[in-house]
Amino acid sequence: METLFAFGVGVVDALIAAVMAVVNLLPSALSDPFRYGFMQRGLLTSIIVGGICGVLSCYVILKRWSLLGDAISHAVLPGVAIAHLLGWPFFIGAFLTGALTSVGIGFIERHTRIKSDAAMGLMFTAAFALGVVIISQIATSTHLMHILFGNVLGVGYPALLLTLCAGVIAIGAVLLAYKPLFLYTFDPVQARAMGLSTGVIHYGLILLLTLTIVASLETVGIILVVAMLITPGATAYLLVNSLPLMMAIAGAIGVFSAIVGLYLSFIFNVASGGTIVLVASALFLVALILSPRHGLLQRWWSRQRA
Amino acid sequence: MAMNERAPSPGSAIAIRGLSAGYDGAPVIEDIDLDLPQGRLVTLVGPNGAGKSTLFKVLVGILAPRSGRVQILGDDATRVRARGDIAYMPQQEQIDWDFPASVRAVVMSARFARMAREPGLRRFLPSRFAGPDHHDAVAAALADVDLAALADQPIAALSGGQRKRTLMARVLAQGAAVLLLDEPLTGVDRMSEELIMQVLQREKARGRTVVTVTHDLMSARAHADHVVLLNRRVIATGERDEMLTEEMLARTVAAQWFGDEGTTRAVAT
Repeated sequence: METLFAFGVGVVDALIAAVMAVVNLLPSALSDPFRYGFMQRGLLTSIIVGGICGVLSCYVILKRWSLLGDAISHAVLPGVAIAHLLGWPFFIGAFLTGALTSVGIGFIERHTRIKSDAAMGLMFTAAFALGVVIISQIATSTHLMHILFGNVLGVGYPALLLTLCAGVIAIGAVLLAYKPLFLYTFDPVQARAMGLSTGVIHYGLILLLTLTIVASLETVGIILVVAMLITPGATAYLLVNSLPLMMAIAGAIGVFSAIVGLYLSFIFNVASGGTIVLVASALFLVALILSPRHGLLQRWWSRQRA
Repeated sequence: MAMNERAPSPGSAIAIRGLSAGYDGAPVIEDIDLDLPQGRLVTLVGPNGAGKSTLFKVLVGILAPRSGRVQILGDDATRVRARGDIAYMPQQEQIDWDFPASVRAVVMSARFARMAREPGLRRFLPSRFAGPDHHDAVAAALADVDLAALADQPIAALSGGQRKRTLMARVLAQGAAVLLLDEPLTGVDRMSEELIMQVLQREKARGRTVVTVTHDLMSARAHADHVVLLNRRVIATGERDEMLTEEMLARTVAAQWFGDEGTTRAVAT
């Protein structure tokens, strides 16, 4: 176990060195903040989180799962609290309650007349409330703030390693299972007719989403992670008409927002999670106005000519 | 069309025994026995709410039957689906046409089940790197429905008839033995209708079984060989000209109004 951890630290250090090799090519005004070890770890974490959130956000957009993403991210809170009580690593608890809640939502949807939006609202607020109650008993309010809003500058090696593993799993799964994911997202009935198990794909995708959310906890926090699971995908959706391209662009937007957001948060000494989300939102605004096919400017222009 | 696909086995293409299915509450179709002949164009005819779509959902596999058995090509339906031998064409409204995909990408997706069963690591690669048989099948299907020129257009840019033909090309590219088409001619222009019927006749001539659902008697009269009159159960089944008579259609509709007794009464008059 310890050799494994040491190996992981070695991998992380190698990745940080690789990222820093690129950063050092930049003018010193830009690369200066990244002299510090905590900034370097924060940078690597943000890049990974931005990338996986961006790629997965395409599926959140296309499956109309924004509310589900919101639900899972809130449902992670009691897991963090319970894991803290039991002395477990927090991500195990977070993953468990996140997954449990999504199963619970599916159960209510299927076995009662309650529709999915109400089922989600009901389950995630209950889970979130439970988390708040437990945490109010055990932890300080700064701890709660870090879980809710992230604290990327406090990321240590264990958390960074976890994020890295989650990133490798999520990206690997999305790439290897691209074909079933395409079928399921575009036309689930066709996927069924071709003998695919849509249940497995459905819950597999939800598990990936949960994994991504858990990995993003320290970076952007519970409340804002859903923005990273919507905004990059929505931006790319306005720009292109091909799913692989949309995934690539959304991933790039996620990474770019994470880097720029981290840098700006350091310069202006403001919350990193919020800044990252604001950068992503600004990119969305640009795409909304300027997109060649679906942009507001283009619509206005074609109406003028008509 | 790629010719290396398995030829369908002889016998009835779809054999249904004692099938009941539905949603919450009373079953929509009850105790259906049905044999659909192979290599023919079969049309399910019935009024709204007769259970045509429900029956299709069971065949496609998105609705589990409450009771009864479905055999396709003499094999368990689940297994037939898994080997990609059931192709399905949904109604246009069931598809999100804003989805970021080109016509070619949608048609290529019909080959994914076959790709997944290939040995080696190639099946994990993007479909660009798939074997030439897959690309040939897609190109042939696109040419069949006259969409080769639009292959790289986003599906969002297509007209209604072109969308229908895209879905038709997807069905063709799959190379399945049984083709299930939900209202294939609704809302299409004359030219698209002719194209679609032409390729369906050819698929039929190749021994494939084409099953369509329609509420449009005109198109059933024009194109079907074999007709199944359905209204929550099978009212009658047989050759088109015997089925689409005034008397038989009245019987089909009456089954909904009066239930089982109504059927007998309607026949007696």
